[in-house]
Amino acid sequence: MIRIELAKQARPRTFVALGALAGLTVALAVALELTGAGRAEPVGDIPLLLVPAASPFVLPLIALSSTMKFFLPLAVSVFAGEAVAGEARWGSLRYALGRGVSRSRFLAAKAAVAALLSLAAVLLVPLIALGAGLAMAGWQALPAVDGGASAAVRQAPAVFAPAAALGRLAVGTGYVGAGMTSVFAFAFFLSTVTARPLVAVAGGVGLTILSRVLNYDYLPGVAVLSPYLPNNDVDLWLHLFQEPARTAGMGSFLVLQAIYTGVFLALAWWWFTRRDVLS
Amino acid sequence: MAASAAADCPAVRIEGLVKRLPRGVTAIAGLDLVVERGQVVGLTGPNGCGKSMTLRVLLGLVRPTAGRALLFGEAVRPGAAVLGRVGALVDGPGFVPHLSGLENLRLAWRLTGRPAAEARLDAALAVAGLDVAIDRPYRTYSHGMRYRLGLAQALLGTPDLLLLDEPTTGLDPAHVREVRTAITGVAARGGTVLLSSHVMAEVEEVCTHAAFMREGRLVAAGSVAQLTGSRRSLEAAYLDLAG
Amino acid sequence: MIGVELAKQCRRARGWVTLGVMAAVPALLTAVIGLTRPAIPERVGDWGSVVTSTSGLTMPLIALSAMQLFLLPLAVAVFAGEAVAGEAAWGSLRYVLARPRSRSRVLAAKAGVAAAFSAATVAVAGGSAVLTGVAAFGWTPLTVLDLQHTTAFTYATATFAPGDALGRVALGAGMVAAGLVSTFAFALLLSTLTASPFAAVAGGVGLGLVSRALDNVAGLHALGPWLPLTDGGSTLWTGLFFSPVQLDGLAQQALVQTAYAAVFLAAAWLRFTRADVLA
Repeated sequence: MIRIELAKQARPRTFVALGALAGLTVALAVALELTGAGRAEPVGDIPLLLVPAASPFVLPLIALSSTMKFFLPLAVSVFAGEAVAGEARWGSLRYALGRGVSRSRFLAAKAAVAALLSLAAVLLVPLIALGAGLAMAGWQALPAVDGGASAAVRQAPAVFAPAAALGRLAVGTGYVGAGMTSVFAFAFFLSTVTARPLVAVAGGVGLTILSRVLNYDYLPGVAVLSPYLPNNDVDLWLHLFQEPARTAGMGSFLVLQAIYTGVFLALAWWWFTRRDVLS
Repeated sequence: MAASAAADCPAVRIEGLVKRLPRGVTAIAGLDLVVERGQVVGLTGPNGCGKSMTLRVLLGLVRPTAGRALLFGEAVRPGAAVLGRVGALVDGPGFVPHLSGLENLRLAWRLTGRPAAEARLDAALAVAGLDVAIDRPYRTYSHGMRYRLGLAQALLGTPDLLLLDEPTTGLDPAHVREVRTAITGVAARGGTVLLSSHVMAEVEEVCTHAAFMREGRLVAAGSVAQLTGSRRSLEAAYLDLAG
Repeated sequence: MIGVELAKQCRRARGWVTLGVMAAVPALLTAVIGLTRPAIPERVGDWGSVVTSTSGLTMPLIALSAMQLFLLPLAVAVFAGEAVAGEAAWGSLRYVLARPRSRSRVLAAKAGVAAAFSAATVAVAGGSAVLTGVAAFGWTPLTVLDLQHTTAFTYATATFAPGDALGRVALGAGMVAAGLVSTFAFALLLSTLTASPFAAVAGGVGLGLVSRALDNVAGLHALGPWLPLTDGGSTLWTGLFFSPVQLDGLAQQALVQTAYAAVFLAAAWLRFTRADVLA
């Protein structure tokens, strides 16, 4: 079942989406190289001041933090949104289900493959950036200057040994990946509801944008909602690169993700196993 | 080109028409066809033999890869003036959902650029047979009602040429009869009709002439009587001639 | 031809609902701010802030800069995206084109009507903001705080008489509209390429969003002035409200928007006049 699904999804669109992400990462690396790899770039809200030429881990940090708020949710939405709605649009959904395949199994296979592709997207960005970083700087320790700290602290930045830096990067990547699950689940749910993949994709992206827009102070009073919206604290993992690592808020973020993911995946399963297939 | 604009030029002249689609599909592979004025010609053949595509070329919707098409002596081009004399129903009706049937017909007529007096709206409305529903939004119409409105739109302003694509597919017998009445009506007034159909029996009944197509080419053409010859039916003739 | 197109578009609920929303959002903002925090400075653009309770003319600044990133591009994309793709979806495009009317004329009429509606959205949004703002906070001189030149010791403010301020608001609205030109053109291009109005709208909105996201990617920021950002990268038009008027970067943005729009419109024209109509 999963193998069939993988075969179905090995289509231009998948490769274009992954390729675009890879291309963006490479473009980023090239741009930084060209504009001065020896200069400190501010990353995230802290901000961390990182010099690309100093360590191979700087590029993955920049790449991941640049893509996590829009481009990764977009890629994940594309994979999740296409999963079921794509078949409905092709008109092949009714035949796939009519063969006596249990709907749960069908949905599980679709979810698994879409999740696999989303995971690939999330891993692709830091991996490619790490490759580029290694080419640029070799296997070195990561000095991370805390731009928000006092001058005295900034003079003596935290330095992470390569292995430690790699470890924290891996944890950060996992955190970002976890942050994508709510977007995935929402887009996947929409995919079971509509026969137009684009609606599901737009929904996933829309959720992300909504989370961010409501976070801004445009509408006073509405900002109180922001802790309950799924994508706001996706940048907390950057705090892992402060000394001591500050993990406040990461736990509640993960719990929130789990809730959103659980709810929407359950909704998707419930709806899909019950609905009339009219497409 | 004054000579070809004379009253004796055929309604439709297609010369060496070729249409290739992307990915190597050839929809029309060299078609030559002449439809004289006053004829009712049935373009017939199996699905996918290029009938619909031919009609779309005649309406200026599709650009031929090679060859040309002339309507009443004028080359067919997007926005050609001669299209104001053509009524068509191709791939089903298409109207604006939030406007009423009557408004849709009026707007359709405005696009021909001909004066409103020439529209013969009553005749068209009679064909549509929608009574009160003509003032309701198009989106509330049933399949049959939409179809009749599409036919009415094609008949606006007593067209000199009527192009119909599979006109009776999916219609119940009462509506089928209406379509045939409309066709014979146009012919009776000296107009020309070119319709496509894969139902041979229909072509045999309604048309004066027929053209057999197969895989994008013309296989045989002539009057229905001619083609049938001594065979049992037009269908038998098709199977004989087109294999 | 324009008459036909107007008849088609003026009668549908969608256009008026969109305009209605454009009018309602500024009114809503006025109400919310007025009720919750009228005396607290609101950020306007990158470098300015205004205090609402001092003048009703602060509302158009706040409303337009809030709507410029997403809502206004959305409305414009809806009008442009529906223009051709809507008819293709209805199945009526082939009947419109199988007529003695040149395709250029048809496209021009459709684009013209869509453009008129798009211009109306900006006008309605601005007008509603002015009306509700003045009704709530009064027709008084507008004071803008220039954050760039404000120090711990001095406030740099600019004050404009109400009439003067209104004039600048009108000019600013015009600049906002100019920033939406690339979105309009792109949505129109997509409209000629697809039979799904939704895809055209999503693409139109996506252009602005992706430009913004790319601009936010650290390292690619140098690309910013060349991207079709709907808000000019930093709400340039608010520069009208400083003394002296600050408009650097405006010429660049105008050029970029025009260039993108010209390319998209030319492509749309080429496509519409040459392509086979299979819809």
